[in-house]
Amino acid sequence: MTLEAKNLCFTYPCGRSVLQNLSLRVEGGERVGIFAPSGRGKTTLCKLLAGYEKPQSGQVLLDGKPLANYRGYCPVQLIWQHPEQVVDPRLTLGKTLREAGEPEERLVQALGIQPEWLSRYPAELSGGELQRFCIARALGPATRFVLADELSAMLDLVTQAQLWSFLVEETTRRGIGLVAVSHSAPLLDRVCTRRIEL
Amino acid sequence: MESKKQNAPLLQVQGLTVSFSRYAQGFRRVTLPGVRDLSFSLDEGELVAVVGASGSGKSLLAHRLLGILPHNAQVGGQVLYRGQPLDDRLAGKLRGHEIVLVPQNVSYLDPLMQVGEQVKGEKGDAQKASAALRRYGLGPEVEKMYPFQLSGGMARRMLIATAVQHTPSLVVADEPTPGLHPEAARRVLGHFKELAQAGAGVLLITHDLEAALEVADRVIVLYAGAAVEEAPAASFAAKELLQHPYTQALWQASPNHGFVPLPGTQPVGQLPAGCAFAPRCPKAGPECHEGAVAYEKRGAGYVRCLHSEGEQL
Amino acid sequence: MKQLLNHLRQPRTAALIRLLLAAAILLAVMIAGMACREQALATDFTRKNLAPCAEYLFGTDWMGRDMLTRTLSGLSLSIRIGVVTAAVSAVVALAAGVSAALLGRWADGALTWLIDLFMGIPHILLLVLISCACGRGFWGVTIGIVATHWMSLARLIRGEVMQLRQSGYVQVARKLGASPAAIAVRHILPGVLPQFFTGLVLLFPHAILHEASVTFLGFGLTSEQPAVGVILSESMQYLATGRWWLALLPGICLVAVVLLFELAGKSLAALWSVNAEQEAA
Repeated sequence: MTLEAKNLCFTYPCGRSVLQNLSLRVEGGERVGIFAPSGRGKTTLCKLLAGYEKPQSGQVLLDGKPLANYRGYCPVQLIWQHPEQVVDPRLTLGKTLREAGEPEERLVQALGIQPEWLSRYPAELSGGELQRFCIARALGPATRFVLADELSAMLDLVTQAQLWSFLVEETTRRGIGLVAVSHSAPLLDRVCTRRIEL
Repeated sequence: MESKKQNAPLLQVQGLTVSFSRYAQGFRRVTLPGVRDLSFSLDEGELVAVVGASGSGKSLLAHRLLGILPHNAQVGGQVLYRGQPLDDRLAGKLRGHEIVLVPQNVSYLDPLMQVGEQVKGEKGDAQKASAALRRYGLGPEVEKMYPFQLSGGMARRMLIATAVQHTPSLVVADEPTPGLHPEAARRVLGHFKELAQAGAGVLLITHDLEAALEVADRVIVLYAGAAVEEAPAASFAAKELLQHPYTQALWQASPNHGFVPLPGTQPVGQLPAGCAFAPRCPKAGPECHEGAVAYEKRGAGYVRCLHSEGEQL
Repeated sequence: MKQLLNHLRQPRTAALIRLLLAAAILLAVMIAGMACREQALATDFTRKNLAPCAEYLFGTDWMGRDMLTRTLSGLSLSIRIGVVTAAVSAVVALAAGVSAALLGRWADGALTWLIDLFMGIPHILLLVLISCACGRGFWGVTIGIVATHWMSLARLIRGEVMQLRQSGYVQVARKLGASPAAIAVRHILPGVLPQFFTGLVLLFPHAILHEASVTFLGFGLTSEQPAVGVILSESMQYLATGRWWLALLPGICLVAVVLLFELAGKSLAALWSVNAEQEAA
């Protein structure tokens, strides 16, 4: 499969333009690192590629078909930088994990999610633990591309190495394409097969 | 009064434990571990970093030093400021000019107040405020802006300017770099280094070990809220110079070194008996699971481990 | 014992106790008032105009009616009107707020305009008008209060739903293929329920005070009902002759009921907020 961005342009409602004519092509199984100073629209690019935002002009295509045409579970999943913003504080993490159906036991184990965490609420766990749930949730059977927006910027080095090693292994095994955004060049060098700068 | 305490360090923290409980959902409460049994001292001109996982309640340490803990926090241990017990009353007296906090969150800013006014504060001095802003590269045009118009780095520098305009002796910085690009983060950390070089004691509380190493003189590493090792920043040059297996694991997990992930997670809720790190520790023996482990001086630093055997600097 | 005390001191437990206490008192007043309705209407000219005493705690009026039972049944009526009006306004508000937020820009524009329109009219005027148009009495007052009280809660709920729709977890749920109905049930409704129930309880005092004031002005409940508004307006002519108890004691009781509802509403809010306590993480 191929995820392709064609001539993306994006301007904030306040009129500040962040992306101009950006094009990008990622194949399944590839790991692309995006490196850029802040304010260059890395997060915006991720949101466009995952269909959270619509570009003013240009297109995001998955296998040549506009991403917006895919109904239901989106094959392009975004893992956010701040996991505590994307889990419902009123639901137990077990429910959050099953938002899109029962997760594969293998994933849950590989991510080190402890069975007793499933009955807990988000306020009871730290960011590193919550991020494991967000990753498991984003790796449903229909996922073809994963975008990771600074997913470890708030985590300690050990957890960072754990989560990235898992993602590399899992995406390789399933032929999933990975787009990793980070401000850390050494990290991208470890994780990615190729690196682009915005 | 001052004379007999002259040799006392600026800040001395002895066996400090702070925890705080809050509601998770319904009537269910969780206790944030905060910090446990933390001891260190900080002198004028020094920059010491306390490094721990995010969301573990490290901020409680900062709040304790400033005397702004929520009333239902549980506190143990002792804090001395220039040899005097730093209780909430003394902290209240010194807060804002002698002891200052550079907060973690940009949400501490008032969104409806211009930058200049805000830095000056209620009874501050406008000239001092603009001088402080200028020192951090924020010119007169910035004074007229509102917080939402600032970039992340500018907002961070504004928080520093607010904190240091009265030349404090002790600066406590709580996670000052997240969300900043390495360049901006380096610049912000550089400003803390300058403050230390100008004679202030700076305590940097962060989750980012690598950033801390660029500026800190000494680094204290927390695991599950407890200090496991204190080491000079220079010890992080090689794994062999580090004492605690967790610190070594951190070192090896860095993308600059091995990117080796140690399996397992920090304990959540109930802590294991004995050493909290023992369940993940490659060196742990049965003795590690029994009873608390003491925090002992080892070479130039301290370590809490029965099996530390690293070389000493 | 010490543990129990400690437990009671925790903010949410304390809030729950306050809430239950307020609810119990209000319920007791409501039932007592319904039980003594007959006595409240009974006249006995052998005991007229008595000041408060051991036998008649609130005294009696010029027709020899016992003011305590009159006050109780008046408050009971007020509470019942309050329950009906607050519940109906809250449901109208929930429906309006949720549809404004979920049905798209057009519905939102129309509903926001309607809210602004209703809020723009001085509501006591609208209340009097509607109450008179519906033939006064219980239903006139109820419809009048509902029509004038749904807006602010509707606006609040609309805002809350809008905010929840923008939240990260709802955006992610959409990308995970959750249907709008599933999102509404799983994430949005549980998110607005606290606001809804708190708003509902805080509507009671408004409803009760407005019922009392329209009735006092003579546009609400008819004078054969032992309503607090009726009691107060009738007592006006006797105040000058020194019969202070006719207005003062029922008035104080009305204020007490209003405060109890406020207390219940605030406790409910404290009980339900996601982060009732300051976070220090």
